[in-house]
Amino acid sequence: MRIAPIRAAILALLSFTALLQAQEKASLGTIIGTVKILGNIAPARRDRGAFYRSGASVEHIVHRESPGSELEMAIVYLQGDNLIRANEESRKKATLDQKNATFLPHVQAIVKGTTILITNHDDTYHSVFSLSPAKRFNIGRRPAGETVPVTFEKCGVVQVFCDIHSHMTAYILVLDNPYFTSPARDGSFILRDVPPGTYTIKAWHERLSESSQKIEVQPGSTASVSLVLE
Amino acid sequence: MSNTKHCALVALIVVGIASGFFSSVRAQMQWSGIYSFEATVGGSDSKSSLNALPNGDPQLAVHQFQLFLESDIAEHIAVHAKIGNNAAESFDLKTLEFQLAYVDFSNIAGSALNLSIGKILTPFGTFARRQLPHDNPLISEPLYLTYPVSVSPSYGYLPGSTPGSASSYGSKLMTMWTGGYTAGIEAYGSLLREALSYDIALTNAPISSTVVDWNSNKELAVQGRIGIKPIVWFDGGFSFSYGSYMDAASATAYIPANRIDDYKQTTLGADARIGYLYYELNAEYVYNTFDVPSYQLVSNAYSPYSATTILPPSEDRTLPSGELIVDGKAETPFLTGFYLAGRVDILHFGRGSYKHPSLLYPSFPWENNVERYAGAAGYSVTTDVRVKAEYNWMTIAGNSNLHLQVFALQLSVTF
Repeated sequence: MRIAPIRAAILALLSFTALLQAQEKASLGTIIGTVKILGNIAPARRDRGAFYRSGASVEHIVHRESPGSELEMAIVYLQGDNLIRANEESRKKATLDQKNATFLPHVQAIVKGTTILITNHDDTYHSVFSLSPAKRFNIGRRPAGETVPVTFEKCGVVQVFCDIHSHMTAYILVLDNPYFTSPARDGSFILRDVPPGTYTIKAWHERLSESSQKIEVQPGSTASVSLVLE
Repeated sequence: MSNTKHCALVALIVVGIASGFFSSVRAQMQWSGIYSFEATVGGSDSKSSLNALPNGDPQLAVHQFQLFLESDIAEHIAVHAKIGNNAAESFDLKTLEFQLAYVDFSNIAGSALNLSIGKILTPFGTFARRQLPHDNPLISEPLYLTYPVSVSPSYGYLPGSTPGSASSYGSKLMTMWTGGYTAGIEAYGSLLREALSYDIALTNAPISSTVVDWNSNKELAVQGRIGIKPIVWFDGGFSFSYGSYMDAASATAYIPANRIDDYKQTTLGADARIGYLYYELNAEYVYNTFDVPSYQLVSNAYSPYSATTILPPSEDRTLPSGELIVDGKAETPFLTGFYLAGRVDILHFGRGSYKHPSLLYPSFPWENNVERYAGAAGYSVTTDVRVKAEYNWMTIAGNSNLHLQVFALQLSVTF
């Protein structure tokens, strides 16, 4: 007979928590916007002539499949003091796969402290490495099915290569907060649940100059922005 | 075989017309390049023709400056070219040349057939394709690409002179001429999920020829490699090259024009590569023969060819040699970008069979055996910037007093 008061207390607590969450949500803002690319974008650079290759003679077949539209390869992210910093919750599962001698995804953003699982899905060796200041690593030659975890502790751009297939590249943007996204194919993007405040919003692309703007986010409102990469 | 040469020319014209059709789509060209600077110092007997050092004195030189041009002109058609300095013949930048220039047709009709047509890189062996500073773990290159042997494109066997150095009677050939460039039609591809690969080219000349862009010879040559990759950590292959190596335009009057193409270079190779985690081991064996004419002295003067007659074809001789190259590279997982490498390179010359004292024919063996050992360390500062240091020493049999050591530093940059 003591169950009823306990159940009532639990219900009250849940209701209170939901109310708090709703209030917190209401106090957060949203950013919507678009990214545009002006002018012609240079094609991805190839490395030192496709006809030289380290090893078997047929490995110089150039893989020309586009990994996606150029706008989808951009990253939009926020910088500012009020933002929640990287924590366990924001460190989502991340992967970097090698399929058909291509890195997938080609571009991704993570928060610092995230561990990326690097997996070879091809029948041939891949030897994944980076010499970027934000993360120098070399996992050596790895056969099909082998996964190696690599943790990224420092913010910055990490360019990843395969030592065997010189045309393979990927970019990892390591950020200190979880407020980032990739635009859709048409360049539109949305950032939800942004704490009120004034921030710098930036658009990054591997072969274009970074674009940035100041933006103010009000509680419960939506701010809009247009970013141009050129 | 002369018909073959005409057929090949017709094929080139047909493909040229086809590529002209596709090139109506304006292509976007992309330039990239590689640059390497070397500081070297060597033993007192070091020189360019022996161990790729201009002389024993300290040298500062741009070893390689190469520009790559690539342009996709249709989905499966691309143009490739390379402009570079000829580091094997001179270390200066006064002369730049098109070392590669070809059109590549990939996945023809959705098949495993790909074609490269034009001035291409030889399919023979593996080293020609890993000679760039970022692919070669050492600074020096194997002897078959750098060591001149006593065979001339003008005379055949070229006796006399210091080992490895040029003779006053003309230049000497390397087993594979500098850079491994050749001109022709190359078919390549892979089958059975890359377990088997082929790369076969019909070319103007075999791998030692100095005149690959065009020549006056009647016959074509063939070069190729069949590769196998049974398991992920091993791949290997068998290579071949066969053709007339003498240059019809510069051959001496002693050799009748109709016999120039009788003198063949035949080269067979076997290669293997083992790779595991941070370690890689490459081994290559190259067996080579040059067919040479024999000359008979008319007077007692040894100055070769000034008072001689060429003997009939039955007196032609074959000069054999064999070279084993083993190089290894070990990276360090704890210091990303750093590695250690080494190479053992042993070039031995076989014995001839003819001993007629009146013939200007090689003593036995026809060259002195050469061995070179090298150790190196490298560090990649960034993906585009690498520094290397190498120490190598070379011995030439019967010349124990030669001082042939080299210490070299190299900075290479891709851009």
